Amino acid sequence: MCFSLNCSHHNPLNCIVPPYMLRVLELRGDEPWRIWRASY
Amino acid sequence: MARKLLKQNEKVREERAEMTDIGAPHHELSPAALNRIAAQGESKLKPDRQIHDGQYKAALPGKLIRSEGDTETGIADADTAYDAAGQVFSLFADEYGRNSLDDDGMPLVATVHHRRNYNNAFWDGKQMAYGTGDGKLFRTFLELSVVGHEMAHGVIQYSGGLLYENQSGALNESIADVFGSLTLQRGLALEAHEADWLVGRGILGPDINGAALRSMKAPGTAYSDDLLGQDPQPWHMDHFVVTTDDNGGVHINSGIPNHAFYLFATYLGGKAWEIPGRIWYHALQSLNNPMASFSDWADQTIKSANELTGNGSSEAVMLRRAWKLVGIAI
Repeated sequence: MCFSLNCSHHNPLNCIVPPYMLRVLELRGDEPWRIWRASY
Repeated sequence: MARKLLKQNEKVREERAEMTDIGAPHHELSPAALNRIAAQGESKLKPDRQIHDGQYKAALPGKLIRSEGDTETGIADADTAYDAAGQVFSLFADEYGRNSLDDDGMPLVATVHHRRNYNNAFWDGKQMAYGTGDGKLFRTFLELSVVGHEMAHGVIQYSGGLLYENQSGALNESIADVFGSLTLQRGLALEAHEADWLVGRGILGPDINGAALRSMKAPGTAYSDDLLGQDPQPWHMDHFVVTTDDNGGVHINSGIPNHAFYLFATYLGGKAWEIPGRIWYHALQSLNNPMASFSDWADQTIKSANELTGNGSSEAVMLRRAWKLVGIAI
């Protein structure tokens, strides 16, 4: 499992929230595992 | 020769006049679709909802906590997911004659409390899953247009599908937004001019400066926030975003067909889930092109409008105008 916020790595998921909105979690300084848990 | 052509033109005009019959509504579905709805009857199509508690874990579907006909669980997210799934089922069944997502009565499987602080909701090809949000970026995903959006992904999948990248992916997202918004408008009995045309209204966190995830009325204005940035959706082809991000901008460029639908529905007035929704649904059933471009889709919606409301009908004319206004000439 990767930590990428790009939905394509996790297809077939039709997510309603796009990855560019979730990228702020990364900018906020959350650890990669936390981003993954929070987003995918 | 000229006389023959004139006579042909006259005949075409007469036929068109008969079909458009100015002043009379042409809001009916095709005879085949009407027969189908009549044969099935509103009361005969019933959902089979199965709501699970993910217990904040990743495994799907989790623990079954409410099946069809069960009383309320007292768990707010589960009961909202149950009620909302019923409303989405009803939109497709009672308005368009569809029996569940696959048109064959498949169970509506949903999981609430998916993972902990999970900032998303999705359709995974088999079921819906809803996070709770982290309370900062998002406060919930159990909102009717969101549930309608996710379930519409299922309908799209079982209607031939639209490849989830670039323009076909943006169409996939847009059609999901359209039916999500229509579910909400129908649930609230709002006419097109009364609706806010927002997708995911009220789901953003309390400190986020924004109203919703997306706006079909004014794409690009749903939020403007220091943390989230500016809603990047365009409403016109002149501002189409070429990117490799977001599977080729599937959540970005969906603003263009979203706005075309909004324009069409507001031109017509009335209940958007009726004529506009029927035309979009009929187009989805007829498309048969998983790699459709915006132009392909626009063309298909015009064909559907002609089939459902008559060749050269005012509806078809207004639909063509809506597509032209967003930069798609047919």
